[in-house]
Amino acid sequence: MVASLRRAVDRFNWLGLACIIAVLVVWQLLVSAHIINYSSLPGPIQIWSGFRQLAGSGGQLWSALWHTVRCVLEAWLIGVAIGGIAGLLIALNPTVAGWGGATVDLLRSLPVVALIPVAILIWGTGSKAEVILGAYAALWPMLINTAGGVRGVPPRLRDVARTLGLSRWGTLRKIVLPATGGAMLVGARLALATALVICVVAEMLGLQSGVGNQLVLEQGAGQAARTWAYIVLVGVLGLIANVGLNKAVHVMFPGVSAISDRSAQ
Amino acid sequence: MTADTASEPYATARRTDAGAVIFELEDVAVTLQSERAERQILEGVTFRVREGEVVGVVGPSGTGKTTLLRVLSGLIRQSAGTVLLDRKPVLAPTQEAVTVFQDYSSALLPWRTVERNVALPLEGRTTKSERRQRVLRALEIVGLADRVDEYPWRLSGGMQQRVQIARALVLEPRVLLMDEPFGALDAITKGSLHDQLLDVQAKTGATIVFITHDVEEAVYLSDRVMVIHGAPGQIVHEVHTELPRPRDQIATRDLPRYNAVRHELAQVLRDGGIA
Repeated sequence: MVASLRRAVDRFNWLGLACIIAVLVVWQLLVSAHIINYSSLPGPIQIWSGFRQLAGSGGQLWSALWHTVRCVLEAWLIGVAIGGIAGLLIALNPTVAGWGGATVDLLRSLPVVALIPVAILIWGTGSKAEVILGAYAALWPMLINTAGGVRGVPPRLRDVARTLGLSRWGTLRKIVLPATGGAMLVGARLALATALVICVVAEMLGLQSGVGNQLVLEQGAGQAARTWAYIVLVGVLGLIANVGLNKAVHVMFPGVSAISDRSAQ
Repeated sequence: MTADTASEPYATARRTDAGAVIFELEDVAVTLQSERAERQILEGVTFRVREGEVVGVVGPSGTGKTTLLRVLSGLIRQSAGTVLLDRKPVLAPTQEAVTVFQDYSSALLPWRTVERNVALPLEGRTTKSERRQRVLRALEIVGLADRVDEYPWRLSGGMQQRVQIARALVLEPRVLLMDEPFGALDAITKGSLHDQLLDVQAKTGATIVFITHDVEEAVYLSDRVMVIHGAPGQIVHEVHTELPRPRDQIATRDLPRYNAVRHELAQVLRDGGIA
C-alpha cells in the first residue's frame, strides 16, 4: 500500500505541475501590476472567483456541465458504434468498399461545423440536434482508424488462421479484431475529442443549453471572468476525457496494454 | 528428456507401419497471376513422402520453394497435376498437415500469452481441461512448459519458434510443414533447435517436410533431400542421406557419408542439375 503510493508519487509529473503553477503566478502578477491591461483578460484569481459564483447556488454551471457531458457521451457511444461497424464492413467486404468508399471520402471531407445550422433547422435547438451532430462527427475518426487497422493486420496472420483451421468468425474474433484493437482505441479517443468539440461549438452556435451556450451568454453580458471560467471548464473536460479513456483502456484490455508496454521497452 | 512418458499419446497414435505414402504429387504445376503477367512458378513436380519421413527441400531463392510448401499445406491450389494427402486431394488447409512459418514474430499473437497462443487452434473444439492438458503436453515436447504465462515477445527467437512448433503440435498433425523454420536464427540457436526438432519427431513420429536454402541443415535433419531448381522450379535431384539416428552435431557431421551427401548437393546446386 505504502509502496504503491510511493510509486504513484514518484511517477507523478511534478516538474510539469510546477511549470503550470509558475505560468499561473506570472499571469496573475502581470495582470495585478497592470502590465497586461485588458478588461477581457482577468487573472487566475478573478477567474476562480467567477467560477465560484457560477458553481454556487443559483449558478448555471452544474446543470450546463451535466447537459454537455451527457450529450457528448451519448454522441460518442453512438458514433463509435456506427463508425466501428462501418469501418469493419468497409475493410472486410469488397462490395461494401466498392459501393461506399467514395461516399465516405466525400462526406468526411465536409466540415461538420458547416452542418450545425442545418441540423438546428431540422431537429431544433434541444439535445437531439446536439447528439446527432456529435455522433456524426465522432463516427469518422472511428471509421477511418478501424478500417485502416483491419487493412494493417499482417497477411501472415491470415495464413496462420487458415493452417490452424480457424473458421471465418473465429478468425475475425480471435485474430482480426484483437489485431485491430489498438487502432480502434486510437479512433475512439479521437472520436471523444471530436464529439466534445462539435457539441460545444453547436451549443455556442445556437443550441439553448450546455457549457458552450453559457459561455456565449456570459460573453454577451460582458462577464469576462465567468466566460473564462467556462473556457477553463471545457479544457478540463477535454483533459479528463483523454486521461480517463487511457486509464480505462489499461484496466479493461490488459493484453493491448502489454503490447504498448512492449513498444515502450 | 523423458521421452517415454511425454510422448506416449503421440507415439501410440503415430507408430503406424512406417512407409505408408502420405503425400503424393503428380506432375504439379503452379502459375500465379501477378499485376500484369502470369508467371509459372513450379512445373512437373512429382514426388512422394512416406509417413514418418523427414524430407528437406533445398534450392536457391526464387525457385518456388515456398510455393511448393503452400501447395502441400493447401494454402494455395496447384494449376495442374494432383496433390494427394493420404489419398485425398488437397483442396484447403487441413489439420492433418500444419504449417510452421519462418517469421515467428508475426505468426504468433503478441496479445496472447504462450499458453493461449498454443491453445488457439483448440478453442471451441475441446473442453477446457482437455485443452489445458494438450497445451501443456505440446509445450513440454518443445521444452517450454515453464513459460506458459509469458508473452511470446519476451522470449528469445529460438523459444518463439518453439512456441510456434508447439502450436502446430497441439493439433497432433500427421505432417509438419516448415517454411525455412530456422532461417531467421543465429547458428548456435539453429544447432540446438535442429536437435530439438529431431527429438520432437522421434517423440511424435510426425512426418516433416521443410524447406531451406542451407545445405548443411538439409543433410543433418533429413532422411531424404530434394533439390528444387530453375524458373519455373523443378525437382532436379534427390538423395537419401542414409545417416544413422539419433544424430549428433559433432559425430554425424564427421561421418564420410555426411560429407559425401553435402558434396553431392552442393554440386547439384552449383550446376543446376546432375551433369
